[in-house]
Amino acid sequence: MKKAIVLILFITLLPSCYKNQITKNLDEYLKVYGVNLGTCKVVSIVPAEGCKSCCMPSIEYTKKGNRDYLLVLTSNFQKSIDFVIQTNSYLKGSRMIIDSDNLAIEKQLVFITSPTIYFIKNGHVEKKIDLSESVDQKSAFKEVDKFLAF
Amino acid sequence: MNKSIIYVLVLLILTLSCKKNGPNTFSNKYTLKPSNDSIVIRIGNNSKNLSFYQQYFRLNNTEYLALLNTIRNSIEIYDLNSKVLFKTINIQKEGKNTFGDLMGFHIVNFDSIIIINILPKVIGFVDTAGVVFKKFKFDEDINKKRIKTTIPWGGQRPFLIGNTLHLGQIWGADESSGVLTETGQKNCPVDVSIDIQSGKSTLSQLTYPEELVGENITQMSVRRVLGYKNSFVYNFALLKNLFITSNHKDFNKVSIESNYGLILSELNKADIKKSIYENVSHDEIVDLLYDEFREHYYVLIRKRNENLGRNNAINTEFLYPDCFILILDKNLKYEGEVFFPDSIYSFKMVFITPEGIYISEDHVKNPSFSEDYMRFKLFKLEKL
Repeated sequence: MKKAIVLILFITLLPSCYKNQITKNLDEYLKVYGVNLGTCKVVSIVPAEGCKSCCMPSIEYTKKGNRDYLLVLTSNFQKSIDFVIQTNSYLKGSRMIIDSDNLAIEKQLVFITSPTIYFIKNGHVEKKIDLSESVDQKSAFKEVDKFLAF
Repeated sequence: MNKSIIYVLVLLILTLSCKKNGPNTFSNKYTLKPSNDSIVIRIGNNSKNLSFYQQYFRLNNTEYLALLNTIRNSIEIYDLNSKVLFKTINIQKEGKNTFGDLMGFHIVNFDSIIIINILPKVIGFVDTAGVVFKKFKFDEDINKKRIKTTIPWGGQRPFLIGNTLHLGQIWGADESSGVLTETGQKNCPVDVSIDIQSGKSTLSQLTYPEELVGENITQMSVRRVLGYKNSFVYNFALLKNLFITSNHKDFNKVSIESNYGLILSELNKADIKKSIYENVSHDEIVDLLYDEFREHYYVLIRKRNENLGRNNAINTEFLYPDCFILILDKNLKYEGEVFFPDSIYSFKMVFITPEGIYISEDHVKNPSFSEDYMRFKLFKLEKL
């Protein structure tokens, strides 16, 4: 019986530790750019040189103008980020972080091919969707809509 | 007494046999010596100092370096004598001169530049104004067999022999969960030759080597180069061999001779993320180059990173592989290997001229890196 309780505790605590680590990593990263995690509901980190069709929905989502949605563009090259902004002029007024030091990839907050979307509740990462593992962009952004509506 | 002698003899034999198969078996006869010469070119806002495909060529006593700019869908031609951008050829994705995505090119002269797209499979011809004056599709070969051309970058660059353009082929084994079967192996031609006059394509009779039967070939890289006496030299990422063919009908196999102790990835994964991590944590041949001026081959090998973990920018590892160069003679025999300091050179940007081999110094972690310059250091092949 005791063993079962320990096992249940272990199973319950393990994912929360994992979530805390993700929160810590994202929080540390955003602080570099002077952003407090508590001020965002959704953080979408986009590799500027990632696959275009995978990245565009995250970039285009900024058109909705929701200030709780934070877009991060990351690359080793400022020129690649400039190109994304240049070809999507609506980004100029958006809430956005420009990470030309490639820090997000270095800290493994996003993979090189596709964006990762972080859902934040009370300053903690509630959920993340790594679009390099999920191809269902539509349902991912439906979830973003839902999350931001609350 | 007898037992002691036998013991000493056994020990001696074992030691000698270990020495034969162990490291430092090959002696260095050649090296690549850094020279004081370098090329420095200031580049514009639309250009990057990292391109996946480059072509060095000479026309009218001028040396040029042409680079593929995938973001701008253009070819940038730099004049190496005056070290300036000579011409940018923009390939259109819509309108009268539409071609689509530019994935490769080959410049013979400025009147007729071959441009390549693989999605869809189209070969085109443009002039320096970007006017497409001819194009044709190459989905199937003359025997109605499916062509599966790989992205023609780096170790899979296009080669032109006379009027025949050669493009590499890359196959999976989807019907058998990635594992190459005996039947499947017979249906994996390694090359397609395209007659640029008639547009007719012919898949090679030569297929993936038998050694790959039973292996999972999902996302396996294939590198090749056109080398000595117009022979093609291939490497299949799972095999520690080089395969030579002069006719695309049969292969001769040679072992890769190195003192380094190559550990190649044995696993290929359908999951691109896992596959990239797997690749980076193993050694990998990233390019094969042939130095026609000195009749030597250079094998660029990315060294494994055994400490992949936090704070490893996987894109940096992938785009800026820390390599060593294996020097082989025209018969692919070991001549030397040259190691370089990490995070200084950019081995995706290498080209060979009559003077030697130019290697880009624009590794993104190089302390002197600047997005506004493209820099190459000259290394000369020298006998030791």
